Amino acid sequence: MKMKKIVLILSIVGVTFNSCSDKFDEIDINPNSTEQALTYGLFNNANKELMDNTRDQWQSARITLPWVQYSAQRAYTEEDRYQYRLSTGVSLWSFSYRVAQDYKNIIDLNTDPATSTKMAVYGPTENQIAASRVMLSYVFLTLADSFGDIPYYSYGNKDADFQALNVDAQLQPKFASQQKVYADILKELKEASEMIDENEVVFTQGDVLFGSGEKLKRFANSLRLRVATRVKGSVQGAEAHIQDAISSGVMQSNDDNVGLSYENNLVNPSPLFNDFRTRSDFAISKTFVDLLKGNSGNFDLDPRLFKFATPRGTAKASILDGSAPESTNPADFSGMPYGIPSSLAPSQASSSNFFSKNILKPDYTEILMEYSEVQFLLAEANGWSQTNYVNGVRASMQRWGVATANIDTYIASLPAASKENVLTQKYITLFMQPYEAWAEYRRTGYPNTLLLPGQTGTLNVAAGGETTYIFTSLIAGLTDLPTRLFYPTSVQTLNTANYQAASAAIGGDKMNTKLIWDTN
Amino acid sequence: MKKLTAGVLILVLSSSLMVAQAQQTKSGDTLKTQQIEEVVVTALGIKREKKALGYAAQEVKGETISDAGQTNAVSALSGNVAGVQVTAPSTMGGSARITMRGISSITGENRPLIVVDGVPLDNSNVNNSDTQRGAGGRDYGDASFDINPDDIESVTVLKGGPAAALYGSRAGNGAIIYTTKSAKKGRTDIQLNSGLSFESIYIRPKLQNQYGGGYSDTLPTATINGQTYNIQEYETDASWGPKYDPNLMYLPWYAFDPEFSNDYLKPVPWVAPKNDVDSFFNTGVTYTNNISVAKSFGDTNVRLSYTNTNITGIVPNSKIKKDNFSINLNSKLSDKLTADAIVNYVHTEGFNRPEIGYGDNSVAQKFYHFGQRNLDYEKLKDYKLVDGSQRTWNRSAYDDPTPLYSDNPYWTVNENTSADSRQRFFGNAGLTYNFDKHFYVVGKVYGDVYSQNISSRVAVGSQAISNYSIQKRNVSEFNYEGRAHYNNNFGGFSLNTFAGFNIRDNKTSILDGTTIGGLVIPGLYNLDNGVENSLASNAEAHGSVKSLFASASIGFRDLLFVEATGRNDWYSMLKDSGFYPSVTGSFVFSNVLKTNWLSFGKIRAGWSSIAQGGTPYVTGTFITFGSPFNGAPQYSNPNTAGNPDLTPELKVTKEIGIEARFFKNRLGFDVTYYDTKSRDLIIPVPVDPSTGYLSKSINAGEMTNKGLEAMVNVTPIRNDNFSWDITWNFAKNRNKLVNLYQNLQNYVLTNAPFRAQLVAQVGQSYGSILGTDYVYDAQGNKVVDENGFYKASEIQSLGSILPKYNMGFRNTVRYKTLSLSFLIDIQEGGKYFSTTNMWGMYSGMLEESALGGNREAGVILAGVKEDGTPNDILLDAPTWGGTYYNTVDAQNVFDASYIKLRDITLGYDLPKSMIGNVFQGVRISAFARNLFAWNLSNKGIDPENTSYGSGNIQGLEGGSLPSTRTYGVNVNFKF
Repeated sequence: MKMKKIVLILSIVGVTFNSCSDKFDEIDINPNSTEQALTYGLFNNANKELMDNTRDQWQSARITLPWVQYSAQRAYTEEDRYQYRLSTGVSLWSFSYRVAQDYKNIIDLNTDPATSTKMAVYGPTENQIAASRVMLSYVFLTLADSFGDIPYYSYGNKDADFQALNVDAQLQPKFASQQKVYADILKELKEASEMIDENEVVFTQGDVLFGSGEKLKRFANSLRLRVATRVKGSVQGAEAHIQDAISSGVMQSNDDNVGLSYENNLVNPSPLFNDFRTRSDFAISKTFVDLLKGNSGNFDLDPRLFKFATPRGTAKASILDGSAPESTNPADFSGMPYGIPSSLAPSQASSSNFFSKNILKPDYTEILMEYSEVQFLLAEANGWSQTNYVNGVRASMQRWGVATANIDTYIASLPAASKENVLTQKYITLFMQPYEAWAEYRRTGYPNTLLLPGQTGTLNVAAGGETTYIFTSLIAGLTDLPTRLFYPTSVQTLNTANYQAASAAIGGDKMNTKLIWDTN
Repeated sequence: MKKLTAGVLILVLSSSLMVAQAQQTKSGDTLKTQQIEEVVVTALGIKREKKALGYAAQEVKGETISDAGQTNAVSALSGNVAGVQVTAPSTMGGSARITMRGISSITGENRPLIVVDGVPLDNSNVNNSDTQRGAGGRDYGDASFDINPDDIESVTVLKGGPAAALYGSRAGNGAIIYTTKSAKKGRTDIQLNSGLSFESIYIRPKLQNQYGGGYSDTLPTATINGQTYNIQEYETDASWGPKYDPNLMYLPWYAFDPEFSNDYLKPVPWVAPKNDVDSFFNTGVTYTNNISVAKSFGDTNVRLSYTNTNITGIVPNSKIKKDNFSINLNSKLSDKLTADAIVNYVHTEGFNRPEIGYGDNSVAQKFYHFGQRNLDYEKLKDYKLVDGSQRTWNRSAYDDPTPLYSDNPYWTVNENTSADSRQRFFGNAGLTYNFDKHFYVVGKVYGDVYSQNISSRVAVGSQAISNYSIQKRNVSEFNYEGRAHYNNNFGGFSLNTFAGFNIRDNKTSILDGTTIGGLVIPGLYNLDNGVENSLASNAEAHGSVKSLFASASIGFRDLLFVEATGRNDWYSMLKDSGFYPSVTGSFVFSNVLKTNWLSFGKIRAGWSSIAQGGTPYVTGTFITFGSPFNGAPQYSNPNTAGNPDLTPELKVTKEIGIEARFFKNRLGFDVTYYDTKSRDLIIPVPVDPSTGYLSKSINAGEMTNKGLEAMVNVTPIRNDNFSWDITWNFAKNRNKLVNLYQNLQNYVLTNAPFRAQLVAQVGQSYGSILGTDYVYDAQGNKVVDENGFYKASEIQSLGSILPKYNMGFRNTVRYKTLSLSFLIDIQEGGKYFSTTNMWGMYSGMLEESALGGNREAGVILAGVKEDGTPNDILLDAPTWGGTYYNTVDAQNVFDASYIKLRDITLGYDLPKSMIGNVFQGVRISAFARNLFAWNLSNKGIDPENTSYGSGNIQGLEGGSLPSTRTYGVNVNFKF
């Protein structure tokens, strides 16, 4: 009896302990996800995530969109006065590299023999790789333009300084010099352009940017023209790239514009539209309205004003549902005084103008680069060419839906092409593409219609007996627009030694340290 | 064969009480010492004589918890046990962070294992990271809230690794072992216990009462129907507005609805409100009713218990209801075979637990960060128009009632509600077979299964997009355990040994659904009512650990004891297995000295090496899914890169202690020194995002804790009618992160919503608050910049959230059957970051923003300019207030020290003469908790109220409700 029970108990112990062990190895198989993505889904996500995070209420409308004075905040104006939230800088950095990792993953999946055949089903391998290289260049351009020296990754260049996007080998990547970064972006764009099969698609689906190899190629060359123009005189070989990019084929018309169109629903609406559903923080800046009205600068009343802005007093709800009226009366537009203290904002807000229903709509297209800009770049390359200048203005007006007669009238009134006129028109074209406008301002000093720290601005409505105010930067020492962003706090704490080396290399981690091409 | 099958079935149903019985049968040779033999519950529920233990274990009696009217069995330990730190915000049903001997894991579990009647109880905290970092969310509390304080017989706190080593990979932080009441052999016992308590607001930010909402010092005007009125900056959620003036008339926010004809276009004086923020809060009420029946039928003992708890919170329209049922059975089936089982069913239902932190529905954020001080809360109660649309003070304009930033707080608590429920079974069943008086075997199953539902609503008409979200979680843990014990005595030697196995199986399954784009039909909360198709997502996790363990304890003449344990764990989620040994020893020197004045004396020492495993799927790098965009799927790399080479994290503990009692136990102390070292911590190390990931899972780092726990008992007076006992608990822990990974210096635990980060920084204590400090010149003056703002340093540590020491001081006085007891709970040191202080100053809400005429005169910050001359730059008041944000974070960092009158309890057992024959006993206790707090560095913030979860994210105050005082009575009838 006793033995029987001992045997029983021991056998139960044995059976229980081992019965589970058969499947023990299978327990850790994750039922929720996979380690292997499909490339087109990565591309689709990366493009959207990139635009979501560089054209939204934070990284755009609370940093660069106001800084270049396309917009001004209607309340809580600290960021307009250059005191941007450090967490926003962290996000810009984080999202950019996260997106870059997705693009790099597409390259990896297309080059790893174990997966490349499978991925080739979703588009020609070369085109997939080229698109990723081009988009990586686009991401790194924004990062370099914003911060200076940055950790960098290159598909085609195994420079020892390029240590980003390699988590298995390097948790604290070195920062590559701006010289190397810009030079390699140019090289990457050239090589990517050369590997594209123009007669094929890029991805079979999930690609709302390009659709065809040809469009991708024109984008690659146009972007190279942009970058080469930015760094000519500061990075060796840039001039040659300008000519090479042009001859390799840049954008030909507005059909070649590259933009990300959001969906006409509330599932994937455009970021600013989505923000305006619950907030109303941003208005068109008064300095921009004054330029478009012809109150400042060299131009007459610009009909694009009516496409960009909503007449004063329009209910926000009518903008969002698309029923807001379009006014052609310049008296309906005054803009939001830029850079006022928060305490003055309530008195001015109701007299300002919101963005128009052409912008605050769910299916808005965020532009990565457009034909008009290319024409201005060509105008510059061609010695401030009148033809390219006029083409650029016309293309921009067409894109915003200005009536042909109004375009003709405006063009007839244009002052002749000059450095100032071309670059100021380019500034108007770049409306809603604030990162590029900010870079161009730093490179060229145009437009010269912005309100700078220490200057006196005019209020829309007298407040406390005052009709003017002095624009004061909240960051001590800034007398002009910021020339860069602080390196993110997360990088300071997580990659300290390289951060310190990079800060020293660029001349200090300050908001007025000039980048290598900021020579004006 | 039939008998075999039945045997298997019975074996699989069993319980821990029989172990106790089995133990009792063998303890025939008790020493005849003066003190009562203390028996405590140790790891795996095994009862041992306390004198034989070579590690620190402290017991708390159930009455200590129930007399004080505690509804949370975990936070009840605060101040009662040396070395236990409890941070319990006073949010209704909120999370209670409990740690012992500091912090040993950077991101992993730092709370002790909670065991109830042998069941390792899931103590999940579902608060999301935004809630925890103070960025807004509701505090759903910990799953251990399900433990019924009324059922607790005793609590044993196994403080460290050596004590808890037998629990293997989860024991690194010690264990808290709850033993519930059971029927005592030969007795029938019926008890009725009723408690009623009240909760009222206590510590909250001090607000200014001189200036109303707005930014301008004059009121704006508007012409309405041809008449010009003073109006207000309704759209401004700050209070830098005009000074109150009873002769200044204006149209308040509620003057624009014809529906409210008494108020329509009726100017009122610009004065401080009659009914201010405090009037918003209710007195919370908690009812607890428990009935228990215990009966013994020969060899079978049964106890049934039912408790009903009803709590209403200080925030209107918030409540929690809890029902606990338990059945506790044990039966001697034959001379050798006993069976036992405990089943608990708990149903917890929360309604509208308040949102806290910096969130849309956080009323504290509206009251103390961004708001208008002139609001009368009686007026705000009319928060809705007949057509269902909202009336808020924060209108977009006088002619536009759309809420700009803030909902009306009454709208928030009545319309934007949440509901949660948890249905839980836990218990165990087992069989014990005694072969003879030396050898027995035990088979047990422990189960803990619950499902939790949480739903939340944002009504149509709110400032935020209307929404309905639900989450369903199913959590289960089963442990299958078998042990064989052999105990015997050989001459002067005693031997206690056992060996066994455990198989643990954890599953979690989560299903989420949320509407997209808003709700269509107002007031209908269903996923079908979304503007777009609702979004569903789910996740499953499964993990298992298989273990073998053994223990041997040898005693020599009750003088010397040596014990060794070992456990090997095999993990489903990691490649490596881990072996976790412990060795402890004790020497009862009082048995050698045998003096009169020494009642008992023991020294003890212990060592253990324990590991923690990973979470399921931590080794892989799995893609995350986005919802399809433009007709194609979206995939992205995850934020965290996985690592196939992860190994368990290891924690080595060394401890030494001395325990002594003198003068017939009138004076006693128990002191422990410990030294723990954890290494190979599994952490998703945040990395520079330029790696392509935000973090990577690696084994990294080494953290040490060294500390002292002391307990002193003094009984100055003890006679038949009167006694006075003093207990003093003290714990000091020094935590240090020795290194992280390679030359990484910081592990960012989280970011506070606007400023400051919580990090683990190499060379520092865990939980440093990182931010900017003042810049000082050589003379120690604060430096101001050319704008007249304080110049900010680079980002640096502004102090750790961990305290220097904690202590509790309990006095108990008894006169006959009357007893009075109070506990002073003291924390020294530690820091917290206050977002409330930052925004409250920024917005002109706090009292300090309106002191000394600074509104009119402006402020010159005390300090020197960069050239060394005294600062003379005058800032207007709003600009000065604005500098609390975005300049020097140290302005918003405060010391977390406190001295609290934690509880005071008056208990009285009615004398027999009064109660007659109906009752066997009647006990009445009156209690008050958190009556007073002293020594606060910011008088408006309770340092315990600065965290919103029981996890590692603490000390980032993002917008807390007032902390509270509780007082009540408890009556116990024994029939």
